[in-house]
Amino acid sequence: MSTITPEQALQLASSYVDSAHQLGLFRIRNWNNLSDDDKKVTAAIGRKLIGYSQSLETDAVGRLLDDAQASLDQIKLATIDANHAIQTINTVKKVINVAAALVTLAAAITTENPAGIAQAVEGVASAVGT
Amino acid sequence: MIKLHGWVSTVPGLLITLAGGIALAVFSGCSNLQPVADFGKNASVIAGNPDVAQDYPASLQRQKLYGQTDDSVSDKAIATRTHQAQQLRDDQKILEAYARALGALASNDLIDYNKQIDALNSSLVNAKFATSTQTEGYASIAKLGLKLGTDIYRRHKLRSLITTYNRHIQKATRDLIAIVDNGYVRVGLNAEKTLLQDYVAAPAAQSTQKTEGLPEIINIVAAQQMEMLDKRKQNAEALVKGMQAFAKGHQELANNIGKVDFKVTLSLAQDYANQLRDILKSFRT
Repeated sequence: MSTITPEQALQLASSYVDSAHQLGLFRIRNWNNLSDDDKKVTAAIGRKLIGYSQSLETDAVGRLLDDAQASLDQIKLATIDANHAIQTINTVKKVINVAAALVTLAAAITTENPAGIAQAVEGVASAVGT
Repeated sequence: MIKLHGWVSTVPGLLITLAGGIALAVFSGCSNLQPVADFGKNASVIAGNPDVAQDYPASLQRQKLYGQTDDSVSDKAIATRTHQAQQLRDDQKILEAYARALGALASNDLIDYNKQIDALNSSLVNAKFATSTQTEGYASIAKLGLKLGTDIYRRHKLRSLITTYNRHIQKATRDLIAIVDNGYVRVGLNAEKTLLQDYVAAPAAQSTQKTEGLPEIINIVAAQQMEMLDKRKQNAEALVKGMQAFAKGHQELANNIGKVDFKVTLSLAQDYANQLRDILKSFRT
């Protein structure tokens, strides 16, 4: 037995909604001519059509979500790739920051400035850590 | 910039100036990827809109209030939709993250090395390893060189990402558009509107015609509910238009990037970035 595609299921569901709407309009236009039984029966049919449309929608959405999964998994990889490229570029900035901190440390050592050395070591650690 | 005394101050100074000029000439013609950054940024904001996913199971809850009692609004059906809504939200987040990363990679802020180079510059001067006159020239070259190098790298990465993953972007957006447009808007919201208007409000107003004031009250309540549904529909349609523009823009970039003048690619990206910006404005809060 062949199954309908999610797109076909949604088209069918949409046609159910249209039919329910037309039936609803018919009921209101003929409200005073319909018996109580007619009103109940037509309301039940209209509501059933809407119920079917909702069940079809739930089913079709589930299948569409499944269909999309493989592509979305690939897009996740693309995002990882893009973020890796961004990190690579940011690493250049980090390297320059570390170089600046090392220069300051070298200067402090050259001038034998203990307080400056301690501060410069912190600067290097901070630059490496960022 | 390096200070020249008369015609030429020093040979290294001349070399620096020349190198800077060459780098500037190459760089100035090819560095602005901001349209691609705007395209990614705008697309990510739209793709991440949570309204549809949040409302997808809630629509069934409201239909129960309108008197639906069949299996379509059962606890099991609502649980299924709640699970699907989470999946939809996760899928949107994947698209959102991709578009954001694409935008971030293309952003001009990413290749702004000024702060880092200036810090290195002042470290060298403070440590008396160089004078400010010497470092100024080298710093200019370094800024330009780094920008140029990373610009080439970024273009290569963007091209590779856009062309490699385009078919997956097309497939995923097509499926998500079908869910939102053909499913949520054309079936879900229309069904709810029909149920409310044709099977609740209108019959109630007819049945209570002889009760003074009641039909009017019913109309007022129904109008408020319809306004809420119209807002949801408008936002869902904006999401659909946004995903369509993102998919189409991505396709056009994939078709053109690396094959035509890069300015043409940037112009395409700018067009779609503008479209996405206008769509963003059409969301109702």
